[in-house]
Amino acid sequence: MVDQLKPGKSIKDTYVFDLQMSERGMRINRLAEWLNGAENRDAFKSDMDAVMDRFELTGEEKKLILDNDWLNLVKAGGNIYNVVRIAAIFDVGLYPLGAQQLGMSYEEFLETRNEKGAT
Amino acid sequence: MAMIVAGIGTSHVPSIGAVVDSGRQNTPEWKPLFDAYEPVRAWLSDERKVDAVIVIYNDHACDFSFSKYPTFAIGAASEYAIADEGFGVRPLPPVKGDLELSTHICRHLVYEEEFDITICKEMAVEHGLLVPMDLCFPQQGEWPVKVIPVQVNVLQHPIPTALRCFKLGAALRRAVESYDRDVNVAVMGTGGMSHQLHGERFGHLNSDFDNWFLDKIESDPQALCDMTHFDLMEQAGAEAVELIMWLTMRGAMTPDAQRIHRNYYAPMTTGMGLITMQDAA
Repeated sequence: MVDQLKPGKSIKDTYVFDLQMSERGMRINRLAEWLNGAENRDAFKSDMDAVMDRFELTGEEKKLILDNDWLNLVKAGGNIYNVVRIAAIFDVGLYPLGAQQLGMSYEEFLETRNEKGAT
Repeated sequence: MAMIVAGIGTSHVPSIGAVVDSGRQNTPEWKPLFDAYEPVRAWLSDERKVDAVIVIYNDHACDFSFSKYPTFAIGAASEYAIADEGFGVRPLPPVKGDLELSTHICRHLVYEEEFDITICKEMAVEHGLLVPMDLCFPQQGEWPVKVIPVQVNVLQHPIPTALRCFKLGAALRRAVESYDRDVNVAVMGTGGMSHQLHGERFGHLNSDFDNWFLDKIESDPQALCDMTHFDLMEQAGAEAVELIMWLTMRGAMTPDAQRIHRNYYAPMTTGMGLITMQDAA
């Protein structure tokens, strides 16, 4: 069998979303997928703790969300598309979310792009 | 008899949908992208006379959840709803399906090809499918062609190999060619090109790789089928593994198919590529 992910090798600064990551992030991902509906988003915005309890998030996972710690949500098994959904609740878009993962300000990040107006 | 009349490889970057919804296609930042699709649209509608399009895309944990995430899934419905991806529902009409052609493809894949795909009577479609439609078959109150959605897991590893995606394309071609109605079918492989959205490697772009991929998808798809997911992700970014879906399009075309259009634009975090092909005369 050719293992497509080359066990033992890793890609720098990359957290491949495999079944192990999916297992780790199950609570975060279930909550985020539930946000694919306006009523659910409103419910989350009005009582985040209640929703996070309902999805049985750990204290650490809750803190990552409330702290808007996107990089560590990814490391905790949040699939990036689900982390983007959670960030949207806090009015944080993809590019600011990305800048934060890089440890840059949004403005600094834009300066690294070929055409920074194409947001 | 039904025929494959066009193959299209295109990115499905979600910001493109937002540009369409707000009418910003002609701003300096976006014009280079949208201008490239103008001749493509004319070619598809006037020359290739496309009636239906098989769209190979991935759902981004929207209609499918990681609790149950099919490796390959196909729609068998006459209509597909527009999904809410977590940011509201785009103002688009529902996508029209071709139930009869979908049903034929399902039967062919399962009985003749032993390609046991998950069959969905209900599917809500999201940017993976809608952005390529915006670019190639834009709606004006209604969509100009019918759609057969084919969803591929490219998010939760293990995902199918590049070669398996290519073989799905060849099987789809045989399915279309064994359909006894006169339908002109396009096959669209979507996603990529280079990008990584997660981790400290956010924003990774590799335009050299993307242009190499555009060369190879035309002239040497076997070289792409031989790539492991690791190699693809290492070079082009983890989220660029979506590019294996372009191989389904290529597998549906003949080996000597000719490239008609090609474009590449990488303004922000994703290489936005385009290629179109048709069988050699």
